[in-house]
Amino acid sequence: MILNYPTFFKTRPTIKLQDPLQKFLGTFQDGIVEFSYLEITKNAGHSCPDVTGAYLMTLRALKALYKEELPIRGEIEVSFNKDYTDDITSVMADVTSHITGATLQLGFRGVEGKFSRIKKLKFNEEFEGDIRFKRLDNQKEVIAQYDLSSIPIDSKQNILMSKIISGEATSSEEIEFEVLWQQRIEKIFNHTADVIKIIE
Amino acid sequence: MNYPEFFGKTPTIKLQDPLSDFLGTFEDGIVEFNYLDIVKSAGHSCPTVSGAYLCTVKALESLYQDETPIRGNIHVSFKSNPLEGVAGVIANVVTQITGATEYSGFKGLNGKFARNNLMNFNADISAQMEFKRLDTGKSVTVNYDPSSVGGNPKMQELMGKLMQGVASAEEKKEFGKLWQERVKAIFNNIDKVVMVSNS
Repeated sequence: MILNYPTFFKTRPTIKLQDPLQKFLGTFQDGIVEFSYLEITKNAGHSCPDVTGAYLMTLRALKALYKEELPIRGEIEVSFNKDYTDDITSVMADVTSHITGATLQLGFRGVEGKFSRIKKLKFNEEFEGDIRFKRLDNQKEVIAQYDLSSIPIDSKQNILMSKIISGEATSSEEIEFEVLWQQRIEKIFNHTADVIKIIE
Repeated sequence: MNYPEFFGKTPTIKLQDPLSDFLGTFEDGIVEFNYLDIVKSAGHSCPTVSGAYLCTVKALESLYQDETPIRGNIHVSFKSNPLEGVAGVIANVVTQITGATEYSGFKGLNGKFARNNLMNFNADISAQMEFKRLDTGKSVTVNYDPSSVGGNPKMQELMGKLMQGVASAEEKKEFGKLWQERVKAIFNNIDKVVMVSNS
């Protein structure tokens, strides 16, 4: 079947990695996998500024850590400075987990000390910024910061949202809200350099 | 990406996600997952990942019949401890499809669309897993046993060589091929390996 979603989902940069476990078990040739924003939103259950931010921070941080090399799934530690029960933190952590393979405790536990995916997602860590990414092979780390203040919310968006939540919105208002919401996401993607800072 | 051909021939799972609908992400909130989506996220294709996928397919079919299953409206219980064995691998597959999480995920908006508190472990249930619809209260239990689908005996020997680092490039490739052949055989024997009962 064909899913219908905003066209910009398809034109965003994808994230390509190498997964040694995939290679070992003959899943993908040379273990090469690629993730798109579309897949992340399917799993997250929605496209919103938090999901987008986590996607873009992962994209930019991996680029800074690996340059022209392919990032290695399972060799990246991802840290947050809040608890995993915090709403935004857990939504963002799920996105980074989907891409890097890192998990807190649910995930593959490894074969004879190799390929483990657990204990690579960390919470309540002390650092300034939103997400810290660390390469476990060379210990190099970067911190990603996400700041949406340059991408204002259309004033109509919040009015429409309250109407929908209180059950007073018409179906055309519901559609208008959906369009405004995703337009802001598209703007965030188009201003990646303004909203994401990578501190090396 | 190059992957085994059978990945593209396995059954897909279509669901409706009210949160995706609300935020204009997918038209009418309709999303569809295939085995390839799951494998990429899990980091591998193995009897555990394919089993979790097939258990979810069969459980949702049984709970929803001709209706489209609703993401966020499904609670999943596991008999196992999440910190042991492959429980976490199975749980992640089920989360990706149903949206259900234990602590993680979206916490909701005005009491709607929450994805946490929809999964629990160490449950006192008679099977490996239980899937429950929160709207009707109907539930089914699911057991998975792939032991009737044997793997090529050569796999064990090749795996030993791989782990010791003495396998040739050809042997590595052969191991991967045999491993995925078993996963394919599991897909071809869904009704033998997955048992769903009303609970």
